[in-house]
Amino acid sequence: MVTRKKHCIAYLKKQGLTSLFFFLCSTNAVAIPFDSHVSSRDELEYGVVLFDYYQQDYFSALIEYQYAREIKNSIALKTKGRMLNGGMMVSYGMPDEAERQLENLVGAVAEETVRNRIWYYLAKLHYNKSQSEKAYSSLENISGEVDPDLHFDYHYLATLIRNDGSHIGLQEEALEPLSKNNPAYPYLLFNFAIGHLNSGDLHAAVVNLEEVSEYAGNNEEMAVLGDRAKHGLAQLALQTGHFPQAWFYLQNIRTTGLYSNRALLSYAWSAIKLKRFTEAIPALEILNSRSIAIPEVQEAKVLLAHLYEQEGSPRKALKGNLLAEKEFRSGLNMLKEARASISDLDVPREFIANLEAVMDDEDWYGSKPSVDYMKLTPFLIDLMASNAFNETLRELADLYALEDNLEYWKMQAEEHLLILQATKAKNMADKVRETLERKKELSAKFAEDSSDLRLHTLTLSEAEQQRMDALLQTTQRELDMLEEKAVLLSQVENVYQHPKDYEKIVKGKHIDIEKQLAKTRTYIDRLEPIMRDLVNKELNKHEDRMGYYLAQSRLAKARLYDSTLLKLERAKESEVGR
Amino acid sequence: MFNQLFVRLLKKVMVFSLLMSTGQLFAQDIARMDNWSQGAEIEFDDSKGKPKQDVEAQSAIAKISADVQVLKKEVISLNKDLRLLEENMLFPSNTRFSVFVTINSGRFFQLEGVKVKIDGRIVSTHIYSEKQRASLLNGGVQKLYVTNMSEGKHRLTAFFTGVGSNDRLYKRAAELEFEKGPGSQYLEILVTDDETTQEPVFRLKQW
Repeated sequence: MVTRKKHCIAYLKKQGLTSLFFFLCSTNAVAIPFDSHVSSRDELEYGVVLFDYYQQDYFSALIEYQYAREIKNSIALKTKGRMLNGGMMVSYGMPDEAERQLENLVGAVAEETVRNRIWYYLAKLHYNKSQSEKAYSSLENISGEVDPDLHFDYHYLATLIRNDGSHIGLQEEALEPLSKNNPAYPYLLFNFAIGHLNSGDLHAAVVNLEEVSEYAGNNEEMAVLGDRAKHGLAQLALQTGHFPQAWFYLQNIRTTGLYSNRALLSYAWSAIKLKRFTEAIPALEILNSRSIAIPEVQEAKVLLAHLYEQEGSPRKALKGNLLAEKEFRSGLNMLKEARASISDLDVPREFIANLEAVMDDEDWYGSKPSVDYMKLTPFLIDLMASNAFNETLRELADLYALEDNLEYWKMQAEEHLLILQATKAKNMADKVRETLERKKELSAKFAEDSSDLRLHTLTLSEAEQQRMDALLQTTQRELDMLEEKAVLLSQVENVYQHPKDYEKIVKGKHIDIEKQLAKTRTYIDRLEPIMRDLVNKELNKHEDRMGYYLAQSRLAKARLYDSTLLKLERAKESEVGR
Repeated sequence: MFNQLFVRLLKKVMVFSLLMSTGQLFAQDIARMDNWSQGAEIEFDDSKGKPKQDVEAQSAIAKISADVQVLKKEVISLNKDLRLLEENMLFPSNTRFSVFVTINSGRFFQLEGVKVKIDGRIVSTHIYSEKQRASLLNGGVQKLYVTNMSEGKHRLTAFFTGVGSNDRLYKRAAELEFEKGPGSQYLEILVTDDETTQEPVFRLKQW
């Protein structure tokens, strides 16, 4: 191998390429630089805050931030850190504190992008608090350059707050940097369409919505948004009297998914308006096979029976009404069960725990939280869109999380006390002293015994003398090693001990845990009845509607019986007449 | 009330049956119209179709919300205090040693898990979720392990598992022998890419 290398060098020398050879050999040996995005200990510590922040775990991120501040992390203390803290508070549902902090900060910031970000947080905060005017004026303060990573969030929020159409002038600027494959793109487009509608530009809204409606494919979220756009287009076409166009849009909505119930019913009514009656029946039949808890299904059942009757199939219509009546009764029983279940002690907690699984990996505070409605009880689909219910769920979920966190610290508190008691009972310094004393005793005893033993070995045979010598040497060596360690130990003047007032501080914090836990439970006890009340009100609505449709079916059934009897009587009379 | 509504529905159905007799006229397929909305006008009400808000419940929640905000602030502060207390109790600053994980680029490697060995003893293992991976790629730093360490020479080995380009399963290790000095010390485990070899690179650095 070496010879081959020498030959190679000799050849390259001839060719005058030695330097190139060494360069090529050395490239592998050169170490790759440590190109971390972290360049200081402070950045490393602060990165822990970001680790939770990017996972949208705002509670943990806020704790990490407070911790970073406490250890005097320079980034946490700077504007950047304080701004992030304010933003996280907005997201974690602490708007009052966030508002105080951000308003203090915004006046003192010179950098445009940072100032814009603070105004964005303030606008989001006011929007979440339903303070539209304040949200609007905060947004007005955003001017010039916006951080690229805030681009979508800013325009998304702006389309929601400035939904009077005053943001539509920025549609191109908002959409231009986004690729059409970016999931954010169709959402923005949709919101701009609403802006156009509010400003009275129907055509621009339709152009936007048509583009959104083209989103489908394997992505369920995009497909749902596409269906929503098509349904919206159909409604616009219906309102302007363009029935064939509405029919066209409705034809293209999927028969499954979140918007399918509404779409199928609109489809059936549009078919009726277009006099394509036979085409209304299949749509209604699909709805007829779905859960009775869905309002569109309830309407479809009554409408379907009437269509059968008008089609000239009274038997089918009668059967339809009889089955509908049975279904409405079972629906009313389901409502009774739902009422009984919501009054159970742990139901709100279980509901929220399950809802987290239903929330599709999105956080509560996301700009577009998506709910998998297939997993949600159908009675509560409409209620999920209500602000009051959403806020109750969010506050309750936060309170349950706080309760779990404090329970954890309560358990840890017992361990803290155990550690402190153990340290107090026998500290390390005592142990070290004891060990050193014992070592001294051992050395003295060995020194004393070893001369006796050496004298004694003289009486033994030569072979046994050698064995004894080896044993004594080994023992001496081990004692020498012990001596070295003893010297090191004796040099340690003070073994670490907790400060004297430590136990008092720890106990004080443990009392705080109990206090906060009691507070948390009080708020949970106040919020759970509100959630139960909201659910019960929603169930009342379902009950009223189902009762109404049940009465419709019963009346239709009675009428069909009457007309059959009338027909029979007339037939009988005509037979008698003959 | 039911009778009135029923009569209304019946009227609709009568109209519908009347229309039914002329249904054949429209039997042909309906084609999409382009620019149907050009020049058309509409009265749009954004609030239409949105559920009615329960004002009573909302004001009750708003009252509790203000208290919950204060509670959240207090619990966050308490958590910070307890963290500091616990850390000082278990890991005094002169012996504290913390291990962090960072990712600089994930083009050639998707980190699935990491295992850390200090002086021949496995001390920490972690499996990454999708969210954690994304967070690391965005610039987050994971505090993987905190321990007490005596002054002097030590050896830390980190084992990485993950998926490389072409879905190739990777198992790699990186090792660092270092001197722990007085005071709290940090060690960064970095996962990055080597653009020239198009391979992942694993590095350790003492801070």
